[in-house]
Amino acid sequence: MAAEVKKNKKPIKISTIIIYIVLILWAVTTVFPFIWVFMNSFKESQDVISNSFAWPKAFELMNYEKAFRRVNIGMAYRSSLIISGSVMVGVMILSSMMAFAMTRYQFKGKKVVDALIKGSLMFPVFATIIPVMAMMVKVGFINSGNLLAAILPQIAGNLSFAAIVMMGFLRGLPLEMEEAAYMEGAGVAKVFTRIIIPLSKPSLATVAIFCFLWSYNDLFTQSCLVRKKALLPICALLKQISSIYGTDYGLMAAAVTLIVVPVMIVYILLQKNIVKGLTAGAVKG
Amino acid sequence: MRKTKKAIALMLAFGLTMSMMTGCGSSDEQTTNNGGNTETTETTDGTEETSEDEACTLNVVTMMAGEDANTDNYNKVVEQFQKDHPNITIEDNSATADNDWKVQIEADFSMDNEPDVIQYFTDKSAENILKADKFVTLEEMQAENPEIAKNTSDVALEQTKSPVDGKNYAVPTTGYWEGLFCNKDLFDKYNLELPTDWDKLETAVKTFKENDIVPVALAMNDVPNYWIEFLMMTASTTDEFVQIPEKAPKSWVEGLSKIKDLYDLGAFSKDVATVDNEMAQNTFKDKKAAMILEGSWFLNGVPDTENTVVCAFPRWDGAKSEEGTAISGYSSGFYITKKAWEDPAKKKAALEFVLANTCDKQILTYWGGNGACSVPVPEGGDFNPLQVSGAKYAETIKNPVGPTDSRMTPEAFNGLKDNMVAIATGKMSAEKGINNMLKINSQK
Amino acid sequence: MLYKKKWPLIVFLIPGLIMMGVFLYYPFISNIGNSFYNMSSVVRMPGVELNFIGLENYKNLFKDPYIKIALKNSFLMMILTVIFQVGLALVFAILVNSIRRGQQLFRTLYFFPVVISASALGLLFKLFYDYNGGMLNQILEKMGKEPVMWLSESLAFTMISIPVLWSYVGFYFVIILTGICDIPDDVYEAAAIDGCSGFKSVFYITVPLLRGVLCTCITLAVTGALKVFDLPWMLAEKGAPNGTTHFLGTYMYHTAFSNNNFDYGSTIALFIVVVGVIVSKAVDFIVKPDKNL
Repeated sequence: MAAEVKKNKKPIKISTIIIYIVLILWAVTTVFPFIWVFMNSFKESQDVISNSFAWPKAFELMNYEKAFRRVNIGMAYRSSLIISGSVMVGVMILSSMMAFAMTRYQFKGKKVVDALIKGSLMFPVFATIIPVMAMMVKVGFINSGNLLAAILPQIAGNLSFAAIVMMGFLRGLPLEMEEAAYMEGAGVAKVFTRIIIPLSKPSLATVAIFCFLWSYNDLFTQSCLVRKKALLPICALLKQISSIYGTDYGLMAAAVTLIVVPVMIVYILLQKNIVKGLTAGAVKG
Repeated sequence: MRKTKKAIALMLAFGLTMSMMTGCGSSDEQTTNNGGNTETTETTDGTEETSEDEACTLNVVTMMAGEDANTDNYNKVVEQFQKDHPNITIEDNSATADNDWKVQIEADFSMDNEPDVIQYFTDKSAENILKADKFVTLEEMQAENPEIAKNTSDVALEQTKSPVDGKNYAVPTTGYWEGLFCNKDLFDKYNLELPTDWDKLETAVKTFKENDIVPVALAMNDVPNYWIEFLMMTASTTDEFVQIPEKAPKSWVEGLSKIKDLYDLGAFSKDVATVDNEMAQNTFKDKKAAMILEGSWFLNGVPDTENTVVCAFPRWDGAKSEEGTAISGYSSGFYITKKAWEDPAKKKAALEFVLANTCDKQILTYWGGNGACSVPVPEGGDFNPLQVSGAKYAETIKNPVGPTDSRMTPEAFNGLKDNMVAIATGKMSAEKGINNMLKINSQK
Repeated sequence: MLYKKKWPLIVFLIPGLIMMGVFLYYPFISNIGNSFYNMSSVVRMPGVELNFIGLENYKNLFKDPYIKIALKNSFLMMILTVIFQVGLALVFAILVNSIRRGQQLFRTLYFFPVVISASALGLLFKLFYDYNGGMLNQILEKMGKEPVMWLSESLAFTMISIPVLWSYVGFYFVIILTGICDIPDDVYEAAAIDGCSGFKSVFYITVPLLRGVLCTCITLAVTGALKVFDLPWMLAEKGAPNGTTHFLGTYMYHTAFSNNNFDYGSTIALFIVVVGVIVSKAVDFIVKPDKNL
């Protein structure tokens, strides 16, 4: 490991310090917006625009109170977690299967399938939403408030991204392990579930993070397909911050804060899986 | 006994300020269900009424949600309605009327998934939905319940006629006017007169410019609507303005060209071509800009209500518009869909719900001193100086006309909006911009 | 040998393809149909006859000056995203991976801009750039300098690119970090014995072994650049000033949603997909991700 390698070297302190300085500087730029949003969530809308970079006069909770009045926060978090959690799991399963097929098999039409996957990566939601809505109205999901109405299209929408990322990772996995397993009599299913999946745990975690995040933040799709007020996901808060004639920026800051928190928790939980060492012993075997 | 109670209630109701009122009578007599008096509510909420309701769920969509000034007022109506009609479940899916929402609503109507009652636009932007012929006419509603739109003004009814067939489908509630908001303290500071005519406007522009104050706050790339409308309107007679011509009329060109004169004079901020509407509005609110052309809804957002006034758009020599002409009107209302009408239980519920939102008292609550009101406004009320100034201005509007975009397809009008910066900076002639709009409009 | 028999393909590939077919391809293809009609609304209203206009929209596409601007800006953005987003992400991933303390912390902090909704980031940068008292101009003023029009025609593209590029470094950072985790330790150990360590090992081991992941990142970056939408739209709506900052993504939204020209919007959508497929094929051709298979 790089760190261990360094130990063998002579005092390398200065370069380490430089590395930390660079990393901290970048971290300042990435954290600043969140602190800024948080600070502004205690201000009146007018104040957000005029004195955006000043400390709030007082930590008043009026924006949060307003947000709680507009949306049933508990229910909204629940909807968001159900929708985005299901999307995440669905995409993980389907994309790892697709990536496995695409990287391990040679077959006719592989290039076409590859182009189909990459092409769909660029489909704008606006171009696909209307027929999808019509489908969901027809099967009755929209009127009965079935969350599958949002889950299924979002699985499909995130699938191409996830498949491409998984394909990239699976290409990097050495084939030796799989062949060794085959020699010992394992079938394809066993190779997939016992070798590929455990080995690609970090990659799956990465895919899971982004699919969760994008599903969670996709206000447009969710608001088109989930109509019942009681079932609206948390990002629908962002629909409550404006009227046709303007936006309440203080409320927006509070809404963004409320929306960000669960995603960060999910991210922190999932990224624990992105760690080293899983493949280390495996290759030797 | 009941009559005396009613009389007392009436007197009490009269004493209440308008902003205190929460709901309207759901039955024939509007006054009896005034939220201010519990005693009368008891009597009228008696068994005869509620037991008549058949159980049903009413799907309702309005634009009063989010930060709309009337979100809370509307939610109170829904709450009260639920209390008065325990058998009817209101499923309210109101949302802010942005572009995405309009797409969603149009899609719903095309898929036979429309709500039972909807508050929606009545102008050209509702044309697609109106063409689908899914609404019950106002006449049909009134035949069922004569209380509907009983006191609605003729102007409001006239302006909310369907652009497709000229019939009334919607019950209008409140309207708007557009006018020139001025930071009077800035005018006083530099000894300037309010811009009651074009020369005074030009003088003010020059003086403010010299003193590093933005004369006119405007986001020309974002919302140039009001300037387009007022310039073309002021240059034209009413008939010229409301026509839908094939080629750009001279008066429109003459009016719109004034935007370039103003631009050359330095009337706008340096970033007029990039700034967005909210930032431009903010320069006015922060007293960095002296004037802004806006709609009545802007009254709500101005922090300094003492020193801000509304005046009429200035006219220049040779302007053909009559004095007292302004962009003002009604562009939305409550509709009942045919889908709801076919179900007798829903039909009754829908009528009751529309009435609860459009009876005089509720409309006055929604109006709250801002914009135009479709029912007669009683004397008095608790208004701030800016609202008073707005109301005074509204009184001077003798000849309200609808804006250009209520007659053009959105695609066409937006085509002109997109070209406004080019027109102001002289990269495109006003005539070409208008012709371009008319061409797109004639395609559909 | 293991993968000689082809029947498992059906099990592994078909479910995903069905999902994509039903919820992406079928809707998208039916949407292409709209581009041959003059649509006044987003959807065909019952009882409304539509004007068939044939290839009119496609002819317009080649005449439209804004498409040229948008295409140029989008291609420029592609190059910038590859250099700055993927490049910076690679640097930070390697640096974070090389330190001992605070790895988890940096991983978390770098992810913030990806999570915060674009409406908030857009507002933040709008308040930086505002001509009348924005943060940057306030600083200039304090230093006794003239305020600058940050979104003027000459500066706008740069000023829009900065937040776009900055906000998604964290995304590639996480992907590349995952790739680095997949590199077995013994490779480094073996190299160290051969005298390859420190920065040398980065160039000779880490980067080459990340090839597949980097190719994925580049594909995602160029296609992402084609779709880039929300931040540019918030900072310079409608390609302000004078339509010079249109990207394909923003121009499509502008056409379809803010101008209600849905048929032309569908045309642009198809155009973007075609450009995207061509570009991603070109990327594959140049960087050859399949090499080690």
